[in-house]
Formats: sequence, structure tokens, C-alpha cells
Amino acid sequence: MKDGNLRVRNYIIFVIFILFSFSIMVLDFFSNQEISSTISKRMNFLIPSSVNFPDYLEFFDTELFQTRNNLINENIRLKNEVLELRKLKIENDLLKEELDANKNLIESVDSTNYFYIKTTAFIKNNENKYLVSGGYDKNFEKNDIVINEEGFVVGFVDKIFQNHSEIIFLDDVDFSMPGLDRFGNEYLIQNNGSQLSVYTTSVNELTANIDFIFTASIFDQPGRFPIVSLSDAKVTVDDNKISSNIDIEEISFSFTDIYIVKTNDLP
Amino acid sequence: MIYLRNLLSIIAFVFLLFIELIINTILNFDYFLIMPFFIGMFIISTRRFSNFYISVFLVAGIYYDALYSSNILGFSSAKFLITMILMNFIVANQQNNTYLDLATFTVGIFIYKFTYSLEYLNPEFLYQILISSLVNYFLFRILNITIGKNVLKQKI
Repeated sequence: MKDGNLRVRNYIIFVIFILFSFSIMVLDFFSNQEISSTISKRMNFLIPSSVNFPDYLEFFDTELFQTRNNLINENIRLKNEVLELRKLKIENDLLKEELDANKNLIESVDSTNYFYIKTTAFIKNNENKYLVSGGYDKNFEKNDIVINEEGFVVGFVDKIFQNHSEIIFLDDVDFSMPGLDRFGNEYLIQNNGSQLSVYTTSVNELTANIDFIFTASIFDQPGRFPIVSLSDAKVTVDDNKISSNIDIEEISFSFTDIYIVKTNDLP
Repeated sequence: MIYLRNLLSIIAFVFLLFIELIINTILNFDYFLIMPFFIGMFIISTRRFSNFYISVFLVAGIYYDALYSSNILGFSSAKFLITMILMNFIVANQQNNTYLDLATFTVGIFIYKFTYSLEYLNPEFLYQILISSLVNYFLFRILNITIGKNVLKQKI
């Protein structure tokens, strides 16, 4: 009986604190997340955002390579690496040819107007979203685009903290971004869980011959960074609508070599 | 002394939450998650349920919301406290057995992982929760057996 009363009393106090949490939520919601922003702007000592993924995995000591056997193994590895590099050279030549073919796309990105801040994902939160280094300290803003080494858009900045930011990547279910093709058709690219759904919101010219969907200044984005390539995807042209679906599994990028694109305001 | 104990508990659970995030970032398993913070929460709510831990989970939730997510401040605190109260309610009103423990654990993880996103209803996510429940419950049992065995009290 005594235990039962004690438990009920505990429940009541728990419920009071749950209501207290809800009141904090209401306050934060109606102040446009001003409270949480103030905390996250001022606190930068509780999160190790300068840590990179490779740092976690540095178990190997360089001393290990001192022994004769290891040197022989290293020699074999280097030999394989040379062979691999030869293969890569051939691949590189092929890519150069492809690059020339896409000259129109490359020329349309005016690299002088932007600068790129290298960042890296260092933690994944419970909502499966990645946090990357750099935040208010590096002047990140909401909806800043994130590109990979090839210049393709892989996500955008969602929430900014003092020294880190939350990113919504292409493979997140919350991903949604407008884009433009070379014919001036406007698109919305959305993640529906298993596929990246690409469909027109405004049509200028009905065609299936679409290669890339770009970012565009009309959507307040830095101009002409490719978001998705539809060259190998099946494009459907219906009555006044162009659409396509890309499997999420086909999209792969490194979370360690990504860049935030910022507009260069200096003359 | 009580305040010091409270402070140490807060630091321990905040650290456990941080460790949970780090582990799942590094291992990045598709089918399950390792949840030391949730295991700690389960132990507290089913074995050591007390008002003492309210502040611990309140602060842990605020810490998580303020530094790791775009949630509204207080969302995770409320979620942690609701999870605890519900898990305690299920266990306290039934006879103790492994199946009930596992069922409570699964219900707890289901609430603990709640997000206001479409992903919550994704079958893959639900599958991940089920697998995570089994894996983490197994870890909890191992921990429980280890803690339960006090070598100093063993008769020679």
C-alpha cells in the first residue's frame, strides 16, 4: 500500500515535469525557437566538432611498418597501387572527354562568385540527420547548399548551431529542393523514402532530353550547381508534366569531403 | 551530497547520450542501433524508479535538443520522461518475466525513437526498431547479470 502510494506520488511529479517540458516547448515554438537558438549560439564547448571520422579510426601505429616483412608487403601494395594508378589514368582520360562534352554545364557555373567552406560530418543524431562542423562561427545560413567534390548538390543546411550545423542530405526523407533544367522548366526534387522523385512545377518546354537539374538564383540559391543527373534515368513526359524517379541506393557520396557554398560579397 | 550525486548522474547520462550518438555514427549499422543511453533509462525506470532522476533526464533532453537536433526545446525531455513513466507503469502492474521485460523494452524504444517525421512510419524504420530492441535487450541482460554478480558477496 505504502509502495503504491509512493509510486503514484512519483507519477504525479513526473507528469508535472512532463508538463513543464511541454511548456518549454510551447515557449520555444512561439518564440520562433529563440530559446534553443540562444543556447546553441552560446554553447560550443560541449561538442567536439573538430573531430573527423578518420581520427576515430586511427588505431594503427606507423612503427608497425618498420619490420622487414611489412616493408615487403608495403612494396607489393605499392606495386598494386601503380597498376591501379595506370587504370585510373585511363579512366581520367575518359572523364576528361566527358568533361569536354559537358562544357556547357561547367561554363554556366561562375566559380568566381562563390567560395567553398570545407566541412565534414562528425555525428549522426537520433533523427538520422548528420551534424557537420561549422555553424554561426563560419557564417553558415539556413538553406546554404552543400556540394560534394564533383560539384553536385548533396544537401542543404537546416539548423545552425555555434560551431556545427544540421544538414539535410539527399538521402534524408525530409529532403526537398527546387531546381531548373536547361530549358527553363522548374522542378521539385523530393525524397519519398525509397526514391528521389523529380517532377515539374512549371513547364517551359516539354521534352525528355534532360541531362541535369540545377540550382538557380530564382530560388535564392547559388546559381547552376547540378543537383541530379537524369541522363541515365527514365524520364516520363505526360500532359504538361515531366517526371522521373531515381533510386536512393544509386546515390552515393562521401560525408567527409563536402563543401558549403557561400556567395562572395566582396568586390 | 544529494546535489553532488545529482550533478554526477546528470554528467554520466549526458555522457552516455553522447556515447550513443558517437557509437551509431561510427558503426552506422543499417538494421539496428546500439543504445546505451536507452539501456540506462530502462534500468532506472524499471529497477530504480525515483523522482531523483527527473532532473537527470530533463537536462539530458535539453542538452540533446539544444546541441544535436532541430527539435523544439523540451521535446526530448518530455519524450524521455514519458518513456520512463510508461515503462515503469507496464512493469509495475504485471508480474516480472523476461517476455514482459522485452515487450516493455520494445514499447520504450518505440516511444524513445519517436520523431515528427514521415520516417517514423517507414516500415524499414519499424524493422530497425524491432531489431534494435532485441540487440539492446540482449546487451541489457548481459549488463544486468554482470551488475547482479557482486564478487565480494560470493561465498567461497
